[in-house]
Amino acid sequence: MARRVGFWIAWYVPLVILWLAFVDTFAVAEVVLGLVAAAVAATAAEVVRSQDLFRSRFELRWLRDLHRLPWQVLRDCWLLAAALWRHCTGRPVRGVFRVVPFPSDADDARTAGRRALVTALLSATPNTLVVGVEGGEGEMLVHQLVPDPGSPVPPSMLADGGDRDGRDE
Amino acid sequence: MSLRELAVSALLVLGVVVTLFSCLGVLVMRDAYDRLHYTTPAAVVAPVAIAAAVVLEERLSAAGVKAVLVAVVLAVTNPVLGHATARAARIRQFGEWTVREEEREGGSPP
Amino acid sequence: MIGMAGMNEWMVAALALLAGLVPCGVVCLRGGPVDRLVGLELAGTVDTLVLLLLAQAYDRAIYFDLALALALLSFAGGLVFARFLERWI
Repeated sequence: MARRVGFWIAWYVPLVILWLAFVDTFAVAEVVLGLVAAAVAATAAEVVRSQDLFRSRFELRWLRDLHRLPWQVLRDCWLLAAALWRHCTGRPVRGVFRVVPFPSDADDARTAGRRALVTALLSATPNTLVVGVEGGEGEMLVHQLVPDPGSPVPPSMLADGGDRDGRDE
Repeated sequence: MSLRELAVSALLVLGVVVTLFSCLGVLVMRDAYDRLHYTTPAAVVAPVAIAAAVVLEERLSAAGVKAVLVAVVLAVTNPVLGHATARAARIRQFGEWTVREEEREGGSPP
Repeated sequence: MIGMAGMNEWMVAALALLAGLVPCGVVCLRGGPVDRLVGLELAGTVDTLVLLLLAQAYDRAIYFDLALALALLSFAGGLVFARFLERWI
């Protein structure tokens, strides 16, 4: 029970701050409305979270290669521009599906979190779209507009270190 | 024109050009997956440029904070939406999205 | 006079972005169902940016809330469409 209250508060406080930042005033009516609205939203979020539909754990060390992301986005925009130019000047461009190795055989919360993070971060780069990760085979299906040799996955997200006794935390 | 005004104008031009480039890409490409790739620059690069222009102009007032928030929401939701659309397109095409045999050796067109 | 904004650079940028809605509309008119969804998603993104620019053009901080609402709602709507396009439409 205390855990649920903790999560509720963890939702409530940022929501109230967000509301106050948006209305940009401390008038009593606005503040009261904000407190009530944030309470409703925090309750809804906590109800969904307690259904336990999706468990994921997150490790900060996966973000070690995050600084490469903006440069990759800019580089991919250049690739897309070049592909558009080629497409318009008579050499049609087609994207391809590629299979990329991605070890993720453990079926626990940490792997789910890693899969979700890789999906979101890789799809942010314009040239690559993650279609899915097949856990059993340890591979990831991506679609690339301009086939880019090598693996688009940042190295810090490939490793599945830590204790691998498969225990669900 | 001060340096700040020049920077604001340059960022605006960048945002508009990137977005129009995305629209052109979506129009010209022939395949749904290829069109999806071109939605990303308009949602990741352009909002950052425009929000940066707003912040340069307004500092971090209410307007600046809200513009940054909109840019963050756009940049975070577009990859998820692209992934969901690509997966839905593949399920629609093949019945399921899992890897097919001919795609294991090298890349193959969809 | 409330809300009279002259022709500043933000307004010009918003008008330029509005022209980008025409390709999105063409894609929505022709092409298969998934192509139309892609056109809709991009149109939602372009509209959000137009609202951002107009909010700054009119210099009212509260107009930014429209852009935020559109960004969130078009995300949710796109997810719903993508889900339905898998098998049912």
